[in-house]
Amino acid sequence: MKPLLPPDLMRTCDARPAVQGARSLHRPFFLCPVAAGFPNPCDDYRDKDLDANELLAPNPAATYYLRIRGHSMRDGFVRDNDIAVVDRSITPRSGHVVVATLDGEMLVKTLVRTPAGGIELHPANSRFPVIAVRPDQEFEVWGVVRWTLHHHLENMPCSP
Amino acid sequence: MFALSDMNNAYVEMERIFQPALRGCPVVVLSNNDGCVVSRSAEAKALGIKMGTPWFELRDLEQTHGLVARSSNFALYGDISRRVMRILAEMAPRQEVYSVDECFLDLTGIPDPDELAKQIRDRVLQWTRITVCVGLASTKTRAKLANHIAKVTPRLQGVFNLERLTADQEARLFSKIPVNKVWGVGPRLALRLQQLGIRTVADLQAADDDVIQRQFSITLARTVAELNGVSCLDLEEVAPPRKQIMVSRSFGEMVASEQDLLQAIRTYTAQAAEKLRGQGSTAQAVLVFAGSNRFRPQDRQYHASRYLSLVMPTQDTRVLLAAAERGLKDLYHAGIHYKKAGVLLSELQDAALTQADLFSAGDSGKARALMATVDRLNRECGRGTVYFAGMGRQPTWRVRAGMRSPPFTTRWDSLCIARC
Repeated sequence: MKPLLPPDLMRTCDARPAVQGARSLHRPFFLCPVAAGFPNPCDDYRDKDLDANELLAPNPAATYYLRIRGHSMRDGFVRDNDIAVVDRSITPRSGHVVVATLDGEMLVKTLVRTPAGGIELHPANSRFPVIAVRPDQEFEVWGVVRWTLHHHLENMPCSP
Repeated sequence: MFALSDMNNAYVEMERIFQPALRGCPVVVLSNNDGCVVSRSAEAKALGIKMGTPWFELRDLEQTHGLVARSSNFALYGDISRRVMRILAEMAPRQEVYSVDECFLDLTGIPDPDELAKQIRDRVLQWTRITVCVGLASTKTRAKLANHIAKVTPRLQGVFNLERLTADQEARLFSKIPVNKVWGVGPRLALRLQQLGIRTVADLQAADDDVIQRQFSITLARTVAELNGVSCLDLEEVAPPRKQIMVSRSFGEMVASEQDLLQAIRTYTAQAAEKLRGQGSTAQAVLVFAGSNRFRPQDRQYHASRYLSLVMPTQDTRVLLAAAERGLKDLYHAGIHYKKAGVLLSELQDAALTQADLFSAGDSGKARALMATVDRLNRECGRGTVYFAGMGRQPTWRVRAGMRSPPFTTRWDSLCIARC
């Protein structure tokens, strides 16, 4: 039989005869593993594994994870105990959900620029007020929320 | 053209990223064990607080001026530093990370370095909230000076290109800067230079090359050449491996028992061994030392060390632990209140070059595999996941760090909270 593999990948060894007097039997000994059956046709099309980081943090140096506490953004699907994935490299625009600092506090709200040129922080829950940022306050947009991560197995039903 | 970028008040500003209440008030960050000041906010500097001031001397300022102190949070600082360095790496052809807050960049081929420097400052500020100053010049030493000038001259807005000055302007500027601001000139060298009449950067720049070489060193001669625009120092893109590795700490509470001291030494040895493997080296000598508190002369004073040579170079924590323990047991004296202890690994070699001898084979393949697994587990599951017996869990000698902020960017259970 013609060998299937080049000679340097194969060597022969003598199988010990199980029965006294039987002829010895040569079998090719492959130096590389040989999968039984047909080769996997998918191997030719192997793509890389999905990595959540590519989705969540395309710019890792500017991406931060923060924990949300509170219910004022519930209707915007930003819920208590969620993780906010914040990207500081995105230029904030009116309508973005942002993390902002106001008088020493870190908040998550929807950023709104009023026609008059003022800044407001809007909730997404009818029970909470709109915050109008005053000029005398310490205010900074910290970063734009790209994603929120909600863990469905861990959270209790939201309180009203 | 070289650029030197460095952060303003690095540790304090990193604390302020996730703690907005710290902005606008005087803040200091303290060294290991809450010993002394290692970083000050602008407001703290305005109060006259100097670098290195012991914390206990500043306690009153908490009440009188609202001074806030933080214990060092190296997990956070390391992460923010890595982010900044990563941003810088992508903005220039070559980078040398010089320290946690400083980095050299090679701007060869960049058509408008001044514009790039401004973009660097803006981008780092936006992406990390950290302010950097950027100095541009034809040599590394000049770039460091340019950076210093940018830092102390507010109207420059954090960027300064030294090569934009005429020779006259440069001479006038350099004659106003004291010589100790030059990279590589420390207080002792500055004193010796002053005795020769070299007081300013201009003086050093004009100094006679022969005099410098004969009376000082080739290093200083290189510095002078660099000041004059002759580039002698290239970027070191890969840090050379350390020739010695030391881990030592002062104790939060003084330690008297041999067991406690052993626990501490074992922990430091394990940490040093991790660093050793991290740089691909073996060690062939272990130095163990311990001592009492020099600042309490009323305590019985004792300072001792033991140097142990190993038969074979090794990276195996167990071998290093055995040596460190022998050394500690030998130097231990009862009746002493120990304030500080440490371990120093030396006679380091590239692990790849280590040869076995006839009588012992050095680290076996199994030992190397075990160490690699330990390191990986500690890296992926958190420091201290796997530790060696006898290191202790929550011992009293652990460093004091009561004012440490959470590691906001490195642990899921410590994320900064945003309220909504």
